[in-house]
Amino acid sequence: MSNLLHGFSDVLTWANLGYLAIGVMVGMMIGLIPGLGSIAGMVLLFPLAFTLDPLPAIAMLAAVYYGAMYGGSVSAILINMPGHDNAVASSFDGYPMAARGRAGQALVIHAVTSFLGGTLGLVLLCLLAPIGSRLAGSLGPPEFFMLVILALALMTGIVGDDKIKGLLSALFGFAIATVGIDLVTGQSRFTFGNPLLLGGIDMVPVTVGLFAIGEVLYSIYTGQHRKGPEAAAALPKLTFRPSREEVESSRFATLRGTLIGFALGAMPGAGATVASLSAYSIEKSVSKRPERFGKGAVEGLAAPEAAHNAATSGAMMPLLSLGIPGSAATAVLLSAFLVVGLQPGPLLMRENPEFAWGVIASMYLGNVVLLIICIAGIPLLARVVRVHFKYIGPIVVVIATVGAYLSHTSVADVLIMYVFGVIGFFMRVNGYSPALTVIAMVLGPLAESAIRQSLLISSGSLLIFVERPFSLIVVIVVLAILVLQLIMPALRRRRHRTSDDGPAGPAEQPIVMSAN
Amino acid sequence: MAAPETDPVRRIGPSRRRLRAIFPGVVLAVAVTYTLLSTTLVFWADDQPGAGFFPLILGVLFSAFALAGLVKELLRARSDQSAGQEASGTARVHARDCAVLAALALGYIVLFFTAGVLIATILFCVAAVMFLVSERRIRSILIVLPIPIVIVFGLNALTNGALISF
Repeated sequence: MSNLLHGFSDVLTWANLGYLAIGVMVGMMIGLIPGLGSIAGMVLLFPLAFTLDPLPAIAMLAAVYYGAMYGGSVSAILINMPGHDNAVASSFDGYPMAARGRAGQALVIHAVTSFLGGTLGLVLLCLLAPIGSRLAGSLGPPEFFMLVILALALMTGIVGDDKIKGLLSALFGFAIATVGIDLVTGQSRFTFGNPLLLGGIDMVPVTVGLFAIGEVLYSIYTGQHRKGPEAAAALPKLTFRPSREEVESSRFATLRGTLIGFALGAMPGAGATVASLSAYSIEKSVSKRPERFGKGAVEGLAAPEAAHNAATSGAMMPLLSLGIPGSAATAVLLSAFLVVGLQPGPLLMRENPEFAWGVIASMYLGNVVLLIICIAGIPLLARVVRVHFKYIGPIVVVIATVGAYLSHTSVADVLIMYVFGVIGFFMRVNGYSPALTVIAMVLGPLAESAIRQSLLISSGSLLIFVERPFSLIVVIVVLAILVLQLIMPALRRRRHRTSDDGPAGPAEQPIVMSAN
Repeated sequence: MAAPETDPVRRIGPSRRRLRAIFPGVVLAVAVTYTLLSTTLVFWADDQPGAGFFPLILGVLFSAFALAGLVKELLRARSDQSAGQEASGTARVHARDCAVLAALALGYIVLFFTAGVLIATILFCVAAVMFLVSERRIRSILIVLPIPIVIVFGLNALTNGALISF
């Protein structure tokens, strides 16, 4: 506690607060733009950061990281276009809420649950950092591989009834991730002799293409642009206060999301995207009325919001205590540490406690600033939903193109983005999941290196996955999830048949969606 | 509630439903090609998995599930044949609109790298709004145009002129 208070005293200067505010604002704005995630935001502020002292520099860049989490969800909720893949799960129920005229409530729930997730995550970071870093450090390749399989097993729960299409979407993402030079053997794979593909296919153009361009084309295909002004006018007057029922529903979802988000965020490789999707999936599976999910269920928004903000706190644990980045964004942050002359790891907490705790203290303050910005900006942000699609569509195309180009100032990235935009459109039309493709792209390299290292250790024996205690536990959990997914539809059908014979229980009652 | 309006899969008729098998067919072709290319890579060498180990496992799974998906879609298309109506004119109009916007976007990329970001953005926004908006077009252009231009200039300033060079 004294360390944390010391951190607050270090960070509470006008200059530091000013840089923190810059980081938060840039993160929020960058997060709003599809495709320009926290990494692009941090890279944009690198030139400024490297002129500063270590504490304000890292506090500012970390603020971009978690500020982008807030911003990405705002565009996911309002226009169904996640600013980055971490916010994909927030669009599942956030956008249906906004589409039904509850944009104000959705944004309030987003702001508060993000704040609670981020802040509670920081409390957990302070409490569990020493224990958690010991555990994370003991995980080997078999455990990492099984964690990837666990994440995929959980995610198959979110793709709806057609599990084959969900699996195909994920396998497509894995396949894209294998393009480029194999880092172990140096052999080029699926490059067709094109040097532009040697480095692999970058995440940014694929994500922007699948979500931004694919979404615009799909919206036009479904006639959003032909809907007259009366469609927009039909939205009821915006109100911002969630109902008591919504607050109660989101309470435990926020808590569960925070715990899941922090735990997965602390595991290197899992990250905020897996955390938010897993939180959504778990929330749906524990819900008494899972049929409401995807139609504007408040728990479906609260859980992933809390999870991906708690994951940012969790990701700081292996970074600060072990020097291991938990995600691509924390990897960029790690490189910033090195540039300002600090080596993250066990020695950092011991030799520079004022710096490490100063960064943690700045994250507490940053979350407060973001809560204020989000709540104060709701009347402005919520009006985005009232703007007609025929105005938004061209703007999204422009921002997506510019964003893809700026990620590496590369013509190839723009072309790749448009190719994936068309693929995303056809995936949407045919009921496949672009979100799972993106997630599999993130997990693919981790899964491949983990399984190859595991088999190298075991000389090709698959028993290594059940010989180690943690790995065995994950195997059992994965099997339990698969069995549950197989028997749950049969159990639901049986329950429905039983209820058809008698009076309808609460689960079978029609869902009345509030107009506000 | 609005499923018939927003879900193109539900809106299309029996003859178009048969066309739905095209996409799973393309997926199967991609999966099989990927698998065949994987076989050209080293699967196992020097007592350790080679560059083709993971891709081949993926490819086999990808092909198997793609085949299952195609069979499922064909069976579904057959069972749907007896019910439903032919594609509505509205669906065809939307598909045409979608194709036009895709063509405009293609033109935007070409202009982006030939005429420059600013001119390309202005021309694309004007063309897209003229196409998508049916009345009060000048007013609509005046509403839409400033936003991407401000974003382009803002990002240009943040990236030290990576977008526009004067």
